[in-house]
Amino acid sequence: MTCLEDILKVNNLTISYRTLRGKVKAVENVSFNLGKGKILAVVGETGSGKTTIGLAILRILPPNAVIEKGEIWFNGKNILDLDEDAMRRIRGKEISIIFQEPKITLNPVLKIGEQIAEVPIEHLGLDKKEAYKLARKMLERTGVPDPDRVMNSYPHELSGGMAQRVVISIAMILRPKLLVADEPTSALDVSVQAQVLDLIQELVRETGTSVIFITHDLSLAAEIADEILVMYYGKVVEYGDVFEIFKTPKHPYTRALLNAIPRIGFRGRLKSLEEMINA
Amino acid sequence: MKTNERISMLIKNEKLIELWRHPNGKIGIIISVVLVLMAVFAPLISPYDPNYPDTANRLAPPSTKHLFGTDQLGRDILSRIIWGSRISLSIAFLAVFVTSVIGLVVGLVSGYYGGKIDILLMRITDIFMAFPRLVLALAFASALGPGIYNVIIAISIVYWSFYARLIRGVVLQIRNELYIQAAKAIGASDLRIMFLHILPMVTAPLLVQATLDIGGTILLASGLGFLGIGVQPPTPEWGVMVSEGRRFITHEWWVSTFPGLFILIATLGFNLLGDALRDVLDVKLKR
Amino acid sequence: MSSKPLVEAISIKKYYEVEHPRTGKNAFLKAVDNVSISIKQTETYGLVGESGSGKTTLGRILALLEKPTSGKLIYDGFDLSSTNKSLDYRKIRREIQIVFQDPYSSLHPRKKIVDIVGEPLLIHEKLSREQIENEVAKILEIVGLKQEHMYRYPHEFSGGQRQRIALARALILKPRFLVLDEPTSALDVSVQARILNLLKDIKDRTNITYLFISHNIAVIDYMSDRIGVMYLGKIVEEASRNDLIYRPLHPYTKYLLMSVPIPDPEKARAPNRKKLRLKGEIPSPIDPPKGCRFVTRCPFATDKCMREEPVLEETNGRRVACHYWEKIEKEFPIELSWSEF
Repeated sequence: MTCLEDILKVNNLTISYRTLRGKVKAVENVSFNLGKGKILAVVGETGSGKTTIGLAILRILPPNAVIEKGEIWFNGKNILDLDEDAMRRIRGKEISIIFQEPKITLNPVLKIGEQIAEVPIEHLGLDKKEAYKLARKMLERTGVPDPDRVMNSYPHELSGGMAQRVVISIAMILRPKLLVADEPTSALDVSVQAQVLDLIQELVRETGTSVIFITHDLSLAAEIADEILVMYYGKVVEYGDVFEIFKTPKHPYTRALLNAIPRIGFRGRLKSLEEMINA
Repeated sequence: MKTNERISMLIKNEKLIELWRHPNGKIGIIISVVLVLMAVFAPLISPYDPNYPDTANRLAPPSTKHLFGTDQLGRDILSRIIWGSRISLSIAFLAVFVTSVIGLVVGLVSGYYGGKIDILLMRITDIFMAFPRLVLALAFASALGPGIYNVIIAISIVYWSFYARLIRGVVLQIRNELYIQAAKAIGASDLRIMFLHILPMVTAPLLVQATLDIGGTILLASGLGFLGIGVQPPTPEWGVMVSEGRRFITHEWWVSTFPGLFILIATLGFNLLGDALRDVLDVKLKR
Repeated sequence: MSSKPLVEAISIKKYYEVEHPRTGKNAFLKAVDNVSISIKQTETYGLVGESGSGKTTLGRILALLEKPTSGKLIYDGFDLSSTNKSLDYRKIRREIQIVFQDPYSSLHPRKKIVDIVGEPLLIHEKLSREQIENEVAKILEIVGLKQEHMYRYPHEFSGGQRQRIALARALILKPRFLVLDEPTSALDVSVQARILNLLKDIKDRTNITYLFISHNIAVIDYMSDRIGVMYLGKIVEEASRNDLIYRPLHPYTKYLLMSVPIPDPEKARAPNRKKLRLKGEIPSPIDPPKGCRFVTRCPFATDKCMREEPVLEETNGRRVACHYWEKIEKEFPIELSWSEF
């Protein structure tokens, strides 16, 4: 699946964490490619290492993380070799990340307008007025009702869905080449989740941004992904086109996951891992 | 279980090991254990009778015969300090015990039930907490008259409200935890929940505070003794000894200095122990 | 399935007095606003709703953990709000149990499993320690754990195992009515399947009645016989499981069903898939909108909807609270994407 249009190439990435109990492997020999404008869903349950991959790409791993080996190729360079200054120029401009809890990403003591505008001010050197105009336009684009009021609000005054739209504005305002979305909708209500997923899809189509969509929910992958990477305890167990994986999953873990998802209208019995093993 | 078994179980207890490894914990344990042993075995280790006036050797400087010297009546200061540890420690332990029990009950009831009971009890603690501790202790100790038990009562009156507040705070945090709601769901009575579910979670902060307060109480009791309130001479209370030695401080410095030193060491020891306990137990609390 | 209701909630209201976040004045947070439902013996009633719907509060009221601000609760024919001394409260407390959402804080961290699971027996029966341990061993086996697990502490177990322990505690007194408040929402998908199947198996073997609360409609569909949809403290629709998912009547239900992600890329991206979206978010339950609660987001809202609250009316064995449900059904039929999987 390598082609000239790949914007990201991950090779044999292996990362461990130093803990009180010794070294724990978070991801092991993970390799994948991401094409331009494509959405890759990284799917796994707790402990699968999916979040670690996202953090590694932005080089914001916690201090006890050890990158044992591997490369992350972006823009012709290995991200793991870049120094902090070079990374700072990339974050927010070329590669952005959004998380599950918008209230964690946002600074509680700054107004929304200031937080969004900060991005173009830092990276493009725009003056305050221009930056605020751009911020407001971006906010409007994400479907926030009454964008002027929101620009002047503080994060705690916003609902979950609105806060997440703000976070998306911050991430996408400079049209990055790559967006890492780590469970961006897990904390949202179903009806809001659907809105936000739609938004991400639209924006991505408009800007040509590639997305790494990290989730534990295979149905979200079914909705928006082009390719899926299935992770199990740090290792890649399946990687391929979304339609193929759903139709003919090769790895037993993938099959187990698919059989365990509750589906509306399904009148059989869900199969848990144990039931599949015992069968 | 035999005593030997209990002691070896205690020594193997992982919290105790952590406490020992803690830099302050080591010092704290050593000092407090030494003091307790000193108090318990006073009759055995005291070189002289603390009240025996060796009139021939009054105000003798420290020597091999009298390690800490003698006071103005010829009494051996080391012996008086050893016997004095009994007084300081019993005041401290008893006072802290009484205040913890009162504070525990008040805090549990107040925090668990809330509402009018809580408001009433907290207003009462407000009144007690409005006065500086020493002033309040002075007032009660004077009013109650001299004697070791009156000192204990006076200190208890002063301290109980702090414990009540502390416990109440913890109870407020815990009362809404799911496992407490679960206890209600299975039909546990209020009493059962307070004493079998909430109390185990409260013992850690209580123990930390109590240990710290033992140090503080030793200091407070010595302060009262120094001022001549509560314990009276000839009882070898450290504060009283410091006070008696004031007159001689320029030439016969040992009369005040050694008891003062022990006040310092005792307070420091228990404070360090309490500090280390807080670190060791807190980590587990945070889990 | 006997038709006599086991649990009846009549006009239940739960209001909290709070400070209005914008005006600072005293206001009412109407968590549950005039809800009446009845749950039949041996059925699984699924309660679905998003945040702020009041489903958890209603569940806690039915589990006797909270008293309603007003309204009546009738269990097995007994009016629980009456102060009749003959009401054997202890007996009723045994028969109604609950399993909470968070497996990490519903078990006492300082107690051993045997003490946690055995405590209900200690409170309600006079059994010896040995007898209690026997019962605990039996119930642990039923939920899929081993006898040795009895002597360990909660922190030694995974989330799924802890939920099973919580379930064991709830089941040890053989309750007749079990409230399950999002019991699998904090668990991984594969673990969830196992617990859901366990719950189903238990139901098959006993005569227990479930109130299953969740925000996940697929899970509710898997588990329930009848489903009630809550929005901002009210029941907006109630129907048998198949009626609700194949023929939803209330606009909120319709749009909610359209928002559920479909775990099949072909069906999810089918060109004729209806993907209409609700705008906005759930308003605050503090001083909710007058008239129909759904008016701020309903694509069919009219003036009447803003003034008049729709009544939960009965039609054909189901209930729906909308002024225009018949009109909407005729003029905007929506086909949903699930048939056979």
